[in-house]
Amino acid sequence: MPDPHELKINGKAVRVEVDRDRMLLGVLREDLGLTGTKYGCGEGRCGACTVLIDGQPARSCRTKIGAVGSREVTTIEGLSTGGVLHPLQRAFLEADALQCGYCTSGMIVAASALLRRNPDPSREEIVEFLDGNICRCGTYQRIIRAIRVAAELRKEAAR
Amino acid sequence: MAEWPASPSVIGKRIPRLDGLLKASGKAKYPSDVHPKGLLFGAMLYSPHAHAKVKSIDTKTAEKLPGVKAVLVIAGPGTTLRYHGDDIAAVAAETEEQARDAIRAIKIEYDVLPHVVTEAQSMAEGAPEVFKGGNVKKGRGQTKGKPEDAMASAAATIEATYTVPMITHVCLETHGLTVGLEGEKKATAWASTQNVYGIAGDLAQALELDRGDVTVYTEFMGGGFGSKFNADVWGTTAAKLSKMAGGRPVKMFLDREQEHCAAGNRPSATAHIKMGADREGKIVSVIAEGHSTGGVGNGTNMILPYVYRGVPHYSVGQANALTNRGGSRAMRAPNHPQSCILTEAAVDDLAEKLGMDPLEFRLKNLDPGSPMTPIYQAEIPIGAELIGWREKRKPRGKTGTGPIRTGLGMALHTWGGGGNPGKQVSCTIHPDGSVDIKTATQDIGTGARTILAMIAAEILGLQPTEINSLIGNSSYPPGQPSGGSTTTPTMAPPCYDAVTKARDALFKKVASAFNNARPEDLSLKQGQLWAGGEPVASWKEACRKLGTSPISVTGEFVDGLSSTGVGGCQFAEVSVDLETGEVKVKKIVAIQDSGLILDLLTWESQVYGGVIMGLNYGLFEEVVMDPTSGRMLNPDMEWYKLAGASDIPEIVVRAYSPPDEKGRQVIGVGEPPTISTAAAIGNAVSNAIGVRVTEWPMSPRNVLNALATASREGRA
Repeated sequence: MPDPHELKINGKAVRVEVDRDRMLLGVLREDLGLTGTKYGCGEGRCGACTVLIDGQPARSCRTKIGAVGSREVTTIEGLSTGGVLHPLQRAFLEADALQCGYCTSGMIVAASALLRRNPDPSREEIVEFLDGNICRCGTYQRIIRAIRVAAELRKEAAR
Repeated sequence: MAEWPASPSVIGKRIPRLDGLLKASGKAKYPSDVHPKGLLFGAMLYSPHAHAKVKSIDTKTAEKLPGVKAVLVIAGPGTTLRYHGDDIAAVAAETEEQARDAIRAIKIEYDVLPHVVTEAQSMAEGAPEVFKGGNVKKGRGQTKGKPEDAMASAAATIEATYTVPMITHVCLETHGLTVGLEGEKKATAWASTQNVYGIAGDLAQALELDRGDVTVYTEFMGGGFGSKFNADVWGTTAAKLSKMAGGRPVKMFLDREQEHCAAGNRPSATAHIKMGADREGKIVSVIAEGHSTGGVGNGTNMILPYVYRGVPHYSVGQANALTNRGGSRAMRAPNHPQSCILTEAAVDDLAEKLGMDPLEFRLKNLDPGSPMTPIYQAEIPIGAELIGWREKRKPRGKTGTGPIRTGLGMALHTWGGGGNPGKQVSCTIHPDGSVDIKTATQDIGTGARTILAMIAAEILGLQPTEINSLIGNSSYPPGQPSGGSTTTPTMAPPCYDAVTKARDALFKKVASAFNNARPEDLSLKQGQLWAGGEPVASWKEACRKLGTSPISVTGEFVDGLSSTGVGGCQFAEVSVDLETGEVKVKKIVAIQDSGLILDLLTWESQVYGGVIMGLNYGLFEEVVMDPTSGRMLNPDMEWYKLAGASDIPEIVVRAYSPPDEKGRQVIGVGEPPTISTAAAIGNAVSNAIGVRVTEWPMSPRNVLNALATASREGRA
């Protein structure tokens, strides 16, 4: 049975009336039109559906809406603020760290959590953090590079 | 035209893809993202059995469930289902959950039939038939010279059975489309496809409409790799459900399980190969007998020997063993990765038997009649240098004494990738200076959209970002399906033709406005119109002289702007744990030619991607069937293994691109770089551990079995 949920999505309070057992992914995509977050496997194994919940990467295809509560959900749409791109988005473009682009949202969202936690991650730390995100086009080499570039961009911006 | 572009301003540079920001910001709308008004959700009911007859099917309960708007039976009573994942029925409902509930409420009685899901089951005496007429279909056989006599006189021979399993495409966006009708005569669809032009035809046929009544959009799509050329049963079913539901749009995308089971695969391949060489190291004979399965579809068409086509004597026989699995489809370089593995493993083993360096052995056996031979001869030393072949490579089995061994391997590949006439591109120059390029092709992640803009920008002296590259719409001029690495070589010539003609028409119309210049005095560069060596107007000012009449030209294929045929070589360095059988790839070197490279940035991405897909094939991927139940055991992304970031080695990519390569003009590069990676990895593993692992992938199980077998037979 649908019941009301007060969510916090990309900094905004959002009220939805949905069954508490529905997955966050479906609510984001179908009810709220936030389709940057993708369905890949439906079992939390590919990472295409990655969002942040209170800054932690989470698999939205396996997260029930009733379990989200009022915690802060951040999707790819919430990463660029006021029309300003997140450094990761710029770096992914310039390094061509995407091909079909379907895994890209999940990759960037996961990487943003890493950079928040560790502003200057080593290659090994990037690899470890992103190991659960699958890219079938095979762009890993450039994804790792783009995250390094983004870290540098952020450092420059902070100077 | 061989020298185009004479002094490039854009072509050959590293240009970021035009749609990259949309993808990186989540704003790109993939076909599975669209949500037109009144959208219904579709779901498929598919066979849990490998082989069964539908005895009865009852949809009454499902139809009455809340939210259900249409139920369609695809496989009625008496229909034979031939694989786990075969289509039975479909539902459209207000929500996804309601659609799935309705699927579960459909009651079916099956007559479960005996099945064959492995090659061995299929080929066994008295095996149940997948279709009437027997399971084993003889494929193309070939004989040249006297292979038996030549084998008998060979100084060294090897004989072994090599095998590589079936894999699936695992497109991250599953197969499907969203389709709706407006009135009787108009349909709109958003399809995840490699063939936006063709899908319109498929849907028109299903809806009994004309092709032009159906508009299909594919602005973006989440991977195809050869599996997404048709609307498929689920696509045409969605169209019919929409019609049943009064035209409301229906979104029908497969779940991951059906995607694995039914939406295509790369067929397996096994070959028993005898190969012999003379004392000088020339291969004199190859005798191969192969079989494969592509489920209910075609098996592998093995090209044996692969690359080394100059072998004077060979005979090849092959058979397709039909099985109760979903049908095969083209997958990134169909037939080549399998043929490469089978040939290159045997070539490596024979070099070993002769005590020759396998690199030297390969150079000796290149086909003197092939135009690829000089390319390999140039590429191989470059790759050898980059992997450190001379310093690092040790003979097979002489790689140390500890439990972790390292080894090097290599393999060669070839592909066509040429352009075909018949497709069109339109170019419109508007009076405000905007430029539209239109064609009904699509960008499946290769960068095709950006390439078209780059060609136009080069000709018009503009930046690619100043061109509107409009693709992914079936109502545009007919464009190329993205397959066979033909998209760019097919679309570049009509794009060139359209833009040069549009430019010339512009010159003709505006020349008199610039000091009465003649059209032939005009040129375009750096965003300016030039007359007789002087800039006379900005691009926009020049276009303004068009007044109210834009220029619009449709271009056709022109000769001389594309060609076919590439060669490449790859090297792998691996380490293998002899105790656990675990293989770690440390480095891959890929050297690739492909004529005139248009965008070096996306070109490299294609090669990296090909290598990583090949690494997956070499190390992880395998459709695992349960011989007892007939079901696929790993139709998910947990047990169907794919590389993650931690599996990615150092990858060194080099374009082989001397001036004469550029003169060959445009050739596609999507497929070639994925062909030889798995073969090179397998050869490196054998070099490291001292025995041949005859079964791909190089999984712990296959490595340990090879070691155990060799040890039992006293070979290691």
